[in-house]
Amino acid sequence: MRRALLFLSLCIGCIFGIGIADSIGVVATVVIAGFIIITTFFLPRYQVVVFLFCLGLLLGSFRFIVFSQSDNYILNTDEMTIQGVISSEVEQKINKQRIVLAVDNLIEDEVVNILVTLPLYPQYNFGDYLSLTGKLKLPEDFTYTDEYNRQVLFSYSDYLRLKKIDFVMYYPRNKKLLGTSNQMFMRRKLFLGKKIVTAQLHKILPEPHATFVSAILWGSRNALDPNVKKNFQKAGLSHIVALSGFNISIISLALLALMPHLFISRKFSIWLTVLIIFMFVIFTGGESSIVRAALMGSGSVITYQMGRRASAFILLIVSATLMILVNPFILLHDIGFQLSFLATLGLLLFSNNFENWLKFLPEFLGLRETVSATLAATLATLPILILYFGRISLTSIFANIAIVPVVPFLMLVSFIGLVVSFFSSFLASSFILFTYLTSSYIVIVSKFLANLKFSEIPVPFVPVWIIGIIYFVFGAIIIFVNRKILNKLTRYIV
Amino acid sequence: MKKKILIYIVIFIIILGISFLQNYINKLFFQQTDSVIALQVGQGDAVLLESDLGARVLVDGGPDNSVVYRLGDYLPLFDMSLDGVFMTHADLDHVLGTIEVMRRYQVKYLFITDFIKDKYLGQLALQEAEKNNVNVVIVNIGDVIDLSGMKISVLWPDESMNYSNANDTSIVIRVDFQYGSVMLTGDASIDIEEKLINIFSNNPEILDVDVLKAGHHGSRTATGPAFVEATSPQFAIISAGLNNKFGHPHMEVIDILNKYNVKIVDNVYQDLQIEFSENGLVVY
Repeated sequence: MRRALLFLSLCIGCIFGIGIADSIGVVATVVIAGFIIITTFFLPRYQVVVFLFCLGLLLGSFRFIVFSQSDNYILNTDEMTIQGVISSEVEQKINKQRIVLAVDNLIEDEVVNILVTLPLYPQYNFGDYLSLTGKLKLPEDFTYTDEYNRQVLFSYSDYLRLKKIDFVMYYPRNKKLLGTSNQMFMRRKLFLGKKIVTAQLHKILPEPHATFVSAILWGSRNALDPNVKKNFQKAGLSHIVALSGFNISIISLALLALMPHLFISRKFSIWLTVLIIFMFVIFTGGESSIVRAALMGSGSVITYQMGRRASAFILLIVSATLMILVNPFILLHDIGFQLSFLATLGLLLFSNNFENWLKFLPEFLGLRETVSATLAATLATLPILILYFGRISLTSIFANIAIVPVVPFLMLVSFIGLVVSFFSSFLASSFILFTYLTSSYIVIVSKFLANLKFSEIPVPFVPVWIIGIIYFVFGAIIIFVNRKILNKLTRYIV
Repeated sequence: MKKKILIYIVIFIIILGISFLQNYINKLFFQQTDSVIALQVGQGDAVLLESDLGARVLVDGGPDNSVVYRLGDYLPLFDMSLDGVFMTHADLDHVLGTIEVMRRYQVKYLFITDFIKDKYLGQLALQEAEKNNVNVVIVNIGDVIDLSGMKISVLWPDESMNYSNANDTSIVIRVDFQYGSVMLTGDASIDIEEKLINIFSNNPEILDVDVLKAGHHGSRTATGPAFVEATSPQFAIISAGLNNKFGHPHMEVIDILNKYNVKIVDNVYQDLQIEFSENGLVVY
């Protein structure tokens, strides 16, 4: 029996345990675990695997109980003065700024996170210590009407619970800046640096290109032009503005290639790379997709140092398990995590098959690879895209073929242009021109495809349990059709 | 090896070549004409004035930062600069966007009045101007700003007077291009319009323009019949947001403009550009 398989079954057990505990209830996991263990008496061959899976189930649900045991804060609807430190990067929207305040004066020895919406000015920074007066509110779920006249429920409370935010406050009075926290030194410096490079980018590029480029380079939390954003969504291109494995692999490859020239020992350079990857994650604001990529990336760097190469599948499962154990809530409520996880899984499972089937496509400009990757990722994410958005993008494949291949070029020229522009705007101009042309190309193509009459079609919203069954059947078919796939995926050496 | 060096040389030449051809590239992509552009910034004002000789002036910046998204379409890539930015008065829907504009674009002059300096948003703008090396100029009635292809005459406010209402301290300017003229009145009320008619009763042609931006987003507090008669515009621009809470533009204003046969144009759904040329006015 492979050790990897044993470990995987524990991890997958954890994931399922948390999922079941969150959706049905903790009792259900215990019942299911018991039931499965009983059945193993008839399947002696897989006893250890099944046992570990059940152990994972119980561990997961235990973690969920611990995590969801939140104190019931007493909500006071009177006006009150709160004090606290800004504990995550400030979001600058077009007409407002949003901060997360870690408030320490409400409950003794406990920090309450409050999302505060403020006017654009005065502008605050990460680490500022503020005093505000206003009314606390519980986040309210709301329904909105989408383009196809359907009522869609948005669970704002679930969304905020992901970020461990309990209350919201809108436009408080008496804003006082009491000082700056001297903790969180590294994050303060990183966000300050981010502010400087973003400001420089704004000086050399007009909108919407400036925000778009900062989004693909380091995941801007500022507002992308609403029209551009909508077009990206319709054309199935939103993923290019979500940071992913691509950024991480560029950074780690560049660092690993550079460091031997700087007389840094191999072992040290590995750890330095891992450190820089995690600093980059903080720099970007730490969305789920980038955390997943960073965990997988550093995992593969570290196993490489140990003289082995871990299969991407194992890295994916382990990274996902770690992330879910840290915050069990992301499994069922963080769409960014779900999409990132499933898209990666889809790439690992299907892209080779698609490449085999699409032999008739030329390899020119990576065409075949792009098409296969798009199809694989689309196939894996389609069910939850339908679940959340109730629509299918018909132009997604064309948009991805037309646009994804130029994104690396855009990243390269914009990065060089930005760096050079700090020294000489004269020499940076050619890079800026190429950035501008490439970015314009992306904006124009996405606009064209999004505005085609049948760029997307609405489909009815499907209940969650049907989506669950679809994925379950999906998985069963894959394992049934290709029995060797488990062997292949769990192999250490790939 | 030789081939590699050759490639590096070619890349280097391209980089230098483009750097030297900046101005040419600007002209290739961005053609400026004499025009007034009411940017679509929602319920607020942000008007870009351009001359074909290259002058660019922004009058107000709208209620939020959407003005920087709109400006991107009109300013050349390698010359992200403005000759001047006016802050007509310190109301949020006129001023807020100018602060972000000063951060992103090289602004040569910031034109304000004495009345703005003490307000919170005015202070903020002055701080930002200092940070970004923008020259601050305080304008007063009678000042004339001469730019290439564009002459801006300041018709209001009068520093020596007292005002109860910030709207009435709005900078009122008349802009003359080679083939046309525009009047921008900020949020000034009918009261001020009548004062202007009195002040310039000796040479009323100063008030006579081709395009009038209806004051205060088309509110009934501005654009009185006497002023419409005095300015006798062909077009009236109404800069207001879709379904705004004030109900701008008000019916009374539309009736008055219709009465004087003024064509009404707005920027509710997209930027509104009026171009001045030998052959008259063209509305986009």
